[in-house]
Amino acid sequence: MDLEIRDLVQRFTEGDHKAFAELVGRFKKKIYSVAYQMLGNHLDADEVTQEAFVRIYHRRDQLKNVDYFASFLMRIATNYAIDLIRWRQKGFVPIDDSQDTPGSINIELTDKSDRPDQLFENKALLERINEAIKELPPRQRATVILHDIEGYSKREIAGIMQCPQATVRSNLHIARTKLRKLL
Amino acid sequence: MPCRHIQTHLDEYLEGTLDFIEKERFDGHFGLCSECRGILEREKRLIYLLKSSSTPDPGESYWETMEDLVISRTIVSERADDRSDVSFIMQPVNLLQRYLIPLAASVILLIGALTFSGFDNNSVLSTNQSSGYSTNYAVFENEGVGDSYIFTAIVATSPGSMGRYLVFTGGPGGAR
Repeated sequence: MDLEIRDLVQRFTEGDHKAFAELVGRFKKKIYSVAYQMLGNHLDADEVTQEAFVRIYHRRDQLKNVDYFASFLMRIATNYAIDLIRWRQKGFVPIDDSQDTPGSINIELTDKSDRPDQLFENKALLERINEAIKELPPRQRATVILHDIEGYSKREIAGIMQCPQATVRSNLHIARTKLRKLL
Repeated sequence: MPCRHIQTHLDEYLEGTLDFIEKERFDGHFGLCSECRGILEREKRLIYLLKSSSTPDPGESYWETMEDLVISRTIVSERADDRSDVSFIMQPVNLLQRYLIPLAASVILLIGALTFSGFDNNSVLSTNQSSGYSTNYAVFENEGVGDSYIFTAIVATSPGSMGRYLVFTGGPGGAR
């Protein structure tokens, strides 16, 4: 974690509102991106993003080490997203707002460099994979998104999901095996 | 080397975390086993596709609104917390609201009932002791109207304390 963020987190834990606002600005896209990948719609991603920041604000006294801010925040967001997935799986109708995302959807949050023809070629396959990801159990889904889409290491994911690295490896292996069948 | 071992440790092979000898074994196996080679190719393609997956940006206006909402939510909840911190100051008032006001209202209702029903001094019928609670029944018969109306005032007194509840029931003659 860079020094500027460490300083912001330190000030945040001491109750500095400006530092908190700055941290929201720094981490909002990362949290939203993970939430969107996990839940597949803007409204739920928005809810998770807001809730994650509100919750970490109230639990700032639990943050013993400022270096763990990012993983603590991601843990809150991931757990909340998992809760939402389970809630929806219990019979609540999933929100489909794919046509309702505010603003432009031409800009992408994640920095991915692909040739346009490749993207076009893989579009249908990606859609199928994304649909298959939604069918995965919540923790497998979170693991594959954090690792393969967001680029977190297994160690970081183990910290976020509070489980051994072996569990992360196992979840990733099972998830990929299921997704691979689509190819 | 069995295919199962290869497939289980495929991720380590792709991440390059296997030692040199193990990697050589894997390479040798892929050269011979078309099934594992196929799985390796599909795994690579899957990872590539997942990495190319993107999240649509909801737009700058959303980010501004979202930040404002988060800040306002934290401020509102913090103020609520502040209020709960001083709630002990409100406790005497709560006590007053909880017990004294209903008691005063009950007394007023009792007086009203006595006034309009024509209280008979000999109307206290019984005192019942049960379950540690003493219950006094006072029956007032309205002699001013043709139908007899009975107002029953029940003062339920919990053991060791003053009257906490004062309940009135009323109805046409005979109802008690």
